[in-house]
Amino acid sequence: MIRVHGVSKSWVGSRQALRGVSFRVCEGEFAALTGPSGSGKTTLFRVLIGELVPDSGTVVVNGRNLGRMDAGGIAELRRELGLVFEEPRLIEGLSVAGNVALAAQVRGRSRLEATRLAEEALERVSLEDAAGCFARDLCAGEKQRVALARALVNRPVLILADEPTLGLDPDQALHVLRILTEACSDGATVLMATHDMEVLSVLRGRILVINRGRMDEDSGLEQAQA
Amino acid sequence: MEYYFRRALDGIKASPVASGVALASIAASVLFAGAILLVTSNAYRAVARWAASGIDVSVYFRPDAGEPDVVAARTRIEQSPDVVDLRYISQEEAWQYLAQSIDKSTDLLSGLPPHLLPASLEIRLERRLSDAEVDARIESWKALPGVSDIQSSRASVVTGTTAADIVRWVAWALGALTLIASLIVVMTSFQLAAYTRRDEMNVLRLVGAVGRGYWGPVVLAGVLEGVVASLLAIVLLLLAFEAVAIPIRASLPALAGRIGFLSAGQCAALLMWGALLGGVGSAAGMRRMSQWR
Repeated sequence: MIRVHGVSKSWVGSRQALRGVSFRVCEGEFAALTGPSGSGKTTLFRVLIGELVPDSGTVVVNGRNLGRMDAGGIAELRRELGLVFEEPRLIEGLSVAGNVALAAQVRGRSRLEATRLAEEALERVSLEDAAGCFARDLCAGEKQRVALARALVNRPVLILADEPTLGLDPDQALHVLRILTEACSDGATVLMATHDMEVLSVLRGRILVINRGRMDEDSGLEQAQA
Repeated sequence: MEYYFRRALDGIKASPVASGVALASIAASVLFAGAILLVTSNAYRAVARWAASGIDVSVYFRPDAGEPDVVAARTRIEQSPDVVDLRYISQEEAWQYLAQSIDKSTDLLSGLPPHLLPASLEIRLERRLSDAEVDARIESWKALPGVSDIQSSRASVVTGTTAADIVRWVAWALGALTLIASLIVVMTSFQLAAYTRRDEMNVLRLVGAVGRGYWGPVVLAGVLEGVVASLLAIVLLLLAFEAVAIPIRASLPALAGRIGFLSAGQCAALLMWGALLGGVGSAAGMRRMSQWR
């Protein structure tokens, strides 16, 4: 589902963010990507969604080689993915349902179908009662769940979540994790970046550790804690 | 299409201040352009109507000219195919016209004999005649029996035509200036709108909106704002026009039929101008976002 080989990325006037990173995530797998702040997690995520072009290496996501894709191809890929970020990245002036339905509409669904799918997705994150509220009126945890609902609305085969529990209290963080785990049980592949040890400790999945731009594949929780 | 409209309306609702600024800037631009169009079209219409009405020639008779002289002159002039209109004004009628055109409260004409003014033939010639052709006719009519003098409005017509052309060129120049100024103001305001919508654009990009799905709703929002702003500006212009025109019509009835609001075609052009400003402005405003991957 995800195949990354020898990916390096450096910023002008700065140290290398990624140094020959290689790993695979198989279909239906739940993998966590962890590492300290500044280790390269977010850079790697931005490479995986085509927001950054690596200096070298190969990135294949959902069978598509990002190196050979133009902006249209990248957009098409993003429509197939469920993306969740550290910041919920919602349209604050839009309703909760509108934010979620947006991803379905971009996928080409009719308004009615998009609304129905949004309602279903909001049910999955226990926010069906907030459908009519403006996104700006929600608390941080609720916003993150709306972002999750938006990621789930098209029932994607691959979910990429970058620090989705950051800034949430433990209950909310576990709630988010539970939603992602359920999505994985329903058949989606999940790659989640986190440095929340509490989340990692309850996670039943593979842990990938990245440190100073280098990755040790198939690491354990002990190494993540080290 | 429904998606575009919904996204466009949602975008406008999501950033009311920026949308309001963009709308106000378009409305101001259309109002200004409309005011220029209104003034120049009325001025041009008035000048062009007068200039296009033809060349007036007055053939004055000597006081001792008899009816046979007048009939002979009239018959001869009527034979000219370039004469559009011909009317005989007797000395009495000339006196009446003069009396009517002078303020009755003054006694400028008191004591003057009513046969002071000469009788005349008031002729209107085709406007297309050249200076030389008009001069040739005048020369030939001067030799007619009983004729004392001939005067022509040819020079005034030339001046009027030139004035109409100047009005038209001034309108074009002002229109071009308005175009440039409007584009700058509207693009700036739409850049503000695009900046306030950057989160929305970011989200759209991240969920995979591309091409028309990405920029279509934003441009459509600009077009909708442009149409609404233009309608608003046209209504404001109509109110302002009526506020000025009502007292003019009351005090100068002769002008009542000569001043008018913009035609339906001109209003439609202003509407399209506003829509174009909105569309182009929003497209330009989000240009830098299109650089994002």
